[in-house]
Amino acid sequence: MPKTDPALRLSDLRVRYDERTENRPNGVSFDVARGEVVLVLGPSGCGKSTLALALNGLVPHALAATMTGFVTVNGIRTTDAPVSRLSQEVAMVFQDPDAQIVTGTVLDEVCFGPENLLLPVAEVLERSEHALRAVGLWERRLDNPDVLSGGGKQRLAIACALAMDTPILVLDEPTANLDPVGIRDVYAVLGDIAAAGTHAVVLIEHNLDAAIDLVDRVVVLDGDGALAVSGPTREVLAGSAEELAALGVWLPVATLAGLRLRRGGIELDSLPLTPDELANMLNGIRSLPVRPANTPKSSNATGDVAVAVRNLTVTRAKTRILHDVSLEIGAGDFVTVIGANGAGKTTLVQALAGVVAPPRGTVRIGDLDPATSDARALAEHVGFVFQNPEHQFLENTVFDELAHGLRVRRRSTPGLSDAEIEVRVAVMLERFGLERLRDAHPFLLSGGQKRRLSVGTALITGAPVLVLDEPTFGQDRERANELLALLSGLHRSGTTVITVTHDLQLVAEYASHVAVMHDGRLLAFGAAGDILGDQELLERAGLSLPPLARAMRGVTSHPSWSTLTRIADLPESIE
Amino acid sequence: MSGALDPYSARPGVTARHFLHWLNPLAKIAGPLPFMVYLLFVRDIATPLAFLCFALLLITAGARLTPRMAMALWLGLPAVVAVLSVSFALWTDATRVDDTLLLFQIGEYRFYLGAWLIGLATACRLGALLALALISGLTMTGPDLVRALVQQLHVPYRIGYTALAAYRFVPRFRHELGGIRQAHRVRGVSGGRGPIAGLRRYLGYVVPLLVGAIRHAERVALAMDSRAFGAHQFRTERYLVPFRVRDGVFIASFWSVGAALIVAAAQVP
Amino acid sequence: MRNVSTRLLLTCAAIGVAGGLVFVVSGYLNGVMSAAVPILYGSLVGVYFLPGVVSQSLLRRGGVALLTGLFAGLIAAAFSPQWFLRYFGAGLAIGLLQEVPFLIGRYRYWRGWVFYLAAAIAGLIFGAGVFVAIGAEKFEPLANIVYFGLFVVSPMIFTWLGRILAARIDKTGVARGLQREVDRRAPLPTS
Repeated sequence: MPKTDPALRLSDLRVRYDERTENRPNGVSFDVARGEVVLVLGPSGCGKSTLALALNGLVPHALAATMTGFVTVNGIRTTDAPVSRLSQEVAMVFQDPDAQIVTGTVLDEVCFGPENLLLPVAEVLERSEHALRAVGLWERRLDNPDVLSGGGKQRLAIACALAMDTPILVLDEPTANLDPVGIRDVYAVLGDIAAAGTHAVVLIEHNLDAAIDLVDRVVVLDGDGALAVSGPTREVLAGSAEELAALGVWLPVATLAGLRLRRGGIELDSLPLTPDELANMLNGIRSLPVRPANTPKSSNATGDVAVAVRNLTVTRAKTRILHDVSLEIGAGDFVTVIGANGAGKTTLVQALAGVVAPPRGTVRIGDLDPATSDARALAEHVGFVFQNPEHQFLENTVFDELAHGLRVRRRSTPGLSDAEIEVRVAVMLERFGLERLRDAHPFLLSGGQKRRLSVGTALITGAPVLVLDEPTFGQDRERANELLALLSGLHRSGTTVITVTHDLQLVAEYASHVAVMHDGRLLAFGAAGDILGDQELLERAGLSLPPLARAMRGVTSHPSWSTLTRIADLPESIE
Repeated sequence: MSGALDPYSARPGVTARHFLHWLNPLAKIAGPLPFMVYLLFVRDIATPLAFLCFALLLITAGARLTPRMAMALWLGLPAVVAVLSVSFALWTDATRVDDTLLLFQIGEYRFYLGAWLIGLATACRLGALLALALISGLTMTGPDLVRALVQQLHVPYRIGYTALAAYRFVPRFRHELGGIRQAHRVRGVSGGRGPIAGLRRYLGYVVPLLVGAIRHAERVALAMDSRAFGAHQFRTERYLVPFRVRDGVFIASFWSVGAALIVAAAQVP
Repeated sequence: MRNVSTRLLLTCAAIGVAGGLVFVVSGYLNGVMSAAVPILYGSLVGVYFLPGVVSQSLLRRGGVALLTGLFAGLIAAAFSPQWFLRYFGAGLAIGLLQEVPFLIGRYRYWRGWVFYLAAAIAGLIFGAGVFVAIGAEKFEPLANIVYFGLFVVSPMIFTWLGRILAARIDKTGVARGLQREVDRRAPLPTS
């Protein structure tokens, strides 16, 4: 084998799944050497995940697809060897931590791969111990993987990959399903791996703020799956920022802020990649326009209360999940509930939407007590969107799905005729861009379309309050942003929106108010800008400042800027 | 309940005394199996009764039982046999037994002793079958059985390990089903009341549940393939479920005792 | 075995898990029912046909009924270990029976009538086994007609249900890439 062979080489890779008509990716070439970390970026649907699956031969061996061009791992063409052979060269970590666990204990899980390789027991155990120690799970080796947190499960998946003892490691959106603590833990482990230089790492990740520190090179795909830009991290992200943003590729928050400042006429020598760099650059500028104090984004002009919660305590299976929570949500507010895992966020929003009946007299939605009202009355007051949209689909077409709520209501109070239902559904289809899909099966929609449909079904009965449980879970930044923009539109047109979200920068951009939960108690409730800039408060809740707030706290030479949390609040033009 | 939902959960309190737990699952099946087949064809009362008692004694001696389980075995099982004996008797063809003692009469219906004895025989047979099945059922875990199937019966390990992975689906199913039911309830259910509507509603739960499960299965399959699942004809086994001398001894003794019971029961008039 | 993909195995396992849970629920119902009205025992026997029918209708591949039945039996057995042999045996035996009619057609012909015919025949075979086990020859003749009739009717009803389920799952597109055609027979040579 010639010495110059890189660990991983892609040459003009094109993949077309059997049921598709176009190639995604469509002509991608790059090399990765051992010790290098390459980040693959691209807008949704450009074929990043397919590319990952092609690196260890799952495409085309396990998934029916036509592949042209080639991939070599340590000189072996993926089309020439079975996946089981390639798995000794390339280890994979996938997005869903639950879908990577096969056995009953942490140790068994790590041993699973080496056992498949028919290694002697002693070597299986040696490799497993080494891998578990590397991710900090050795002490928990006898636990059932189910009791690990999401971040713990994903570190376990990384240990399983390490135990394969491969020169190449591929991670496909490893933190998309995790909360901020889990993301931090996973990147601590990945940082160690990158520092050790033992692997050629390919990383697909939309959370650039977490990944940026360990990435050596960036490869960007465009919307058609073709290679757009490729090069060292700073050169690509800072140098081609405009181009990337135009492609719909997400950038680090600091870079986005830099772009905005430039458009606003503030001279920056180069674009920042991290909050620290942004802070340093702003500190280096002699004069910046004075920012007005955060203006609350409230559109609650009337002062009406949409949802009132009074002394809400929820106990389930003898465990107190919510503890004496009281808050009032104004009509027309956009409220986000934040907090670490297990803080009671989901229980809170489920109780205030009546999904799980709260104790009598603790919650009021308008003039309704969800504890004593039936599903139909509730549906006219509040719409609820579940984390997994597929759970709430009941019908076989998009049209029937939207019409369902109206038809159910018609049974109790006759009123709407078929023609009226037709009209209202048509309005909803248009509003959410689903007209062409009216006869499609809901399960066949794309992820973003499913989400929009689920919001539509929640709103069709005319509910003035919309509650969403982690609507951005498992979605990339682009989809998450698209959804929040949609919610923002509803908010502007007067709907009260209540959501649970982990991504604090998204919260900062869209929410008018934030409720912070910790251990079942409401730590704070107030205007978004005040709460997201309060480092002490967020740390008490097990969270950390969103990236822009972190940067701005470091801007010591311009005091009026230090409390900024939203990119949208940065000056667009200098007066 | 959550323990029962997780086949991997450890069983606390099993000590050296509970010898049934330390046997190979296949031995615990192979011991009673011939007698279970035999019991299908007997029609007397003594034989099943003998096996019922033998199985209960064996379980009590060699299995780890909670007080509730012991109660269910010694009180619940006989009670079920008693109830079954009556209900089977009700359906027995009365013309075959109208020469036996008339126990009671309700209107035109006559309940003969002969009918009850036939019912009792059937009930005892079913009780004995159950008790014999409990010998293995109460003392082995699903994963151990799967391992024994792979290691001793040479079931392909890819099937065995798929079954082990499948055990993990169970808690996930429960979680997903909870979410689906909640979501459907919130949206209001169409179709009104009654059994047909109820059936429709359940079908409505099952479809998203299965679709989610099949997608999950696909992802798990990719993750397993990525970790060299199926690379070789065999794989390293760290958990051996060996078939030892004591397993052979158990089967041999069980068969001897069983044979003796059959002979003894035949002496009963 | 080597040509069976992991994805197919796991998909059968997923359907099997659902089937196994249905076994367990029906097992409890059946326990109550057979204590009260033993001749209705056969009415729920059809549930054992569900996993195989769903996987066969959805995937249309050889061996899937056997695999799904095996997984269903193993899962149900883990839940109710006391019924281990019943679930395991029923899952495996019915899975095997369900393979036969399609094996005769060399796994190329998967129309609905084959499913119903197979269910009826398998129900009769299974019913005969249980008939011996509970000694139903001593029941009244009318009771026997009801008893045996249920063993044929119940599998057909559950086959119908399973096919509805499979058709609905099919519409969601989740089994694409695993499915085979309903009718893969070689076209007749035309003159």
